Amino acid sequence: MLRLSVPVALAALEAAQDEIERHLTAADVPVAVQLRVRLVVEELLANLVMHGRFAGEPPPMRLAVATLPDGVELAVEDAAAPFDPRTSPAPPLSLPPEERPIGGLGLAMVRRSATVRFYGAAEDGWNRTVLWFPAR
Amino acid sequence: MVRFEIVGLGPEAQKIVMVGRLDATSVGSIETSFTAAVAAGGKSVVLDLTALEFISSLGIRLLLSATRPLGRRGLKLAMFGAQPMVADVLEAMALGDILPLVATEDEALARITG
Repeated sequence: MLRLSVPVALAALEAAQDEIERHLTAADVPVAVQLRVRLVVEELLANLVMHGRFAGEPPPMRLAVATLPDGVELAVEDAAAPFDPRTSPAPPLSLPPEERPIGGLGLAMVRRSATVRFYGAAEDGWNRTVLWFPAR
Repeated sequence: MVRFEIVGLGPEAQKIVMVGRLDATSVGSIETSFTAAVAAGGKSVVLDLTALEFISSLGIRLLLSATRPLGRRGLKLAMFGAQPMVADVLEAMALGDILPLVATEDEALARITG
């Protein structure tokens, strides 16, 4: 299990992504799965940076990565106002791409790249989202 | 990290080769120069994605915003050669008409000149 504390800032993203990638490579996780994890970590952090509502200065988000025989589990905890990634509106694909709201694009990618296994409150009241990446 | 190279393709088109990862970390480093390069050529563009390893929603936003001025001048952009991860992301977002993705450079050229 890899545990990371990642500041809610785009400048912190790459180091976290690279550390997760090293962990997944060491566990022989297929590259295609690694790229999906990389994408989801980026979209969730970028979403927090751009849209997260915090009471004061945002504390770092917590990530936990577990490699299992049949896939990868990623647990994300943040202190933003509650936001359920399962039920946020998808971008309306009926609109031309240039007219779609940009914000929904990232969450649509999250939902396509992983299964959201759990969303709810962590023990300390933070948001907890658990995502599953099957090793297909 | 991401970078791009401009390759001439004759009077009607320019080819731009995208290399690396187009993500939240890197997109700012080429945002201005890439948008300017697409617009300044005054030609339709084929975008070579064979060396692009990764793209995220912020990368797609750059491609969309850089393409917009082309359409206003009756020019087009077509992409080819995407690796599986990149192709999957682009196809999922149904960008078909404005950012068409095809397999080969010849098909991309046919798209922008057709």
